Amino acid sequence: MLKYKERYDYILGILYTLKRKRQYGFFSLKDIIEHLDTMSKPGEVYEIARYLEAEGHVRTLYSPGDVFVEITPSGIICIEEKDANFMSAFEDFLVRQELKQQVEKAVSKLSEAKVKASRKPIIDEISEIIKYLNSNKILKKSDVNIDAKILKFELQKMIPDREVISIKLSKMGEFSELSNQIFQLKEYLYGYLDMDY
Amino acid sequence: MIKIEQNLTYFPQILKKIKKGYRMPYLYGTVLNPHNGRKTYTAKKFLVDTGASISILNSSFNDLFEDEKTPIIEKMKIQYGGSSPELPVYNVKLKIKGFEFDIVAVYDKGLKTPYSLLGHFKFLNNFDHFGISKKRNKFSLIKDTTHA
Repeated sequence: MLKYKERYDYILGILYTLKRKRQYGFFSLKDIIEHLDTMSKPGEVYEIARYLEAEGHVRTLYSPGDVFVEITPSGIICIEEKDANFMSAFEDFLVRQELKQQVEKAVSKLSEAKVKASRKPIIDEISEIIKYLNSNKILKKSDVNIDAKILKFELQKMIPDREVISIKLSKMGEFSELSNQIFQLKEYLYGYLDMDY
Repeated sequence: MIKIEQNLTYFPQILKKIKKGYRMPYLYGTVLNPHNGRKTYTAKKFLVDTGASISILNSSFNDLFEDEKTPIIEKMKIQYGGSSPELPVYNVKLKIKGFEFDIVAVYDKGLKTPYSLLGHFKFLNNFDHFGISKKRNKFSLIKDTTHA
C-alpha cells in the first residue's frame, strides 16, 4: 500500500515514463490513479491535481469526471532528482502493475472518446434521476426534470459551461426528494466546480 | 515575468431568497513552515482578498505549527466583524502554480472557513498588477521580474 505522499511521486513517475516513451500531451489522471494500489473517491482526482499543479509539477485541464495532466519541466526534475531507492521501487511497481511495457496503453490521452467515457458515471447518475422523475405523473412535467435534462445535455458537451452546471445542480438540490441522488452528483461535480460541500 | 491566471469560481446564489450568482477569486497553494520543514501535502484553498491587510491561515494548517517551536514574529490583533483576537504571525513559504513566495501570515487556529486569505502585506504587494476580467471570467496576478 502506497503512502499518500508516495502517490504524488508515482503519478509523476508514470507521467515521466510516458514522456520518455515520446508520448506527449495531456493524460487522464483518473487512469493513473486507478493503477495505484489505493482506493480513491470521485473527488480525489481534483485534490491530487490541485496539489501537483500548486507545486508546479503538472499543467492541468479540468473536466467533469477527470483531470487531464501534462508533466512540466519542474515535474521532470522532481523525478530525476529522486534517489536510486525510489527509482528501484518505482521500477518494481511498474512491473507489478504490468505497466512496464505498455504504460501508454494503460493511461489514456486526452481525446473526445476519453472525455465522454470519464463522464459516463455522472451522466448515468443523472439518467437515473430523470428516470425516477419520469415515473411520476406530476414530477414528469416539473421544472426539476427539465433542469436534470439540461444538466445532462450540458455534460455531453466537450467544454461544458461551469455556471450552467452550478445553477442546475443548485436548483435540483432544493428538491428534497432527490437529496441522496444529488449528494452523489455533488461528490462527482463539486471538485470540478471548485465548490465546498 | 510571473503570471498567475485562474478562472473565477462561480457560486449560483448568495442568499436563499435571491437567485443571484457571484464569482470569487480563489487560488490553490501549498505552504511550508521553513522553521521545522513541515508542509501541506494537499493543496489549500485561498481567497485573494484585496480587503485584507495581511494573509491569514485557517485551522487546516494546524500540522505546520502544532510543535509550538516556530518563532513568532509578533502577535497581531485581527479585526473580524465583532471580535478582534490577538494572533501569532509567522514566516511561511507559499507555492502557487510552481511559483514560491516568502510571505508573512497570521495563523488562526479558530478560523474554520474552508479557505484561507491572501492579503496585501508580502503577497499582493509582490505583484505589479491584480485584475479581474468578468468578461473572460478570469483573474490574474502579474509581476514584472525584468527590473528585479
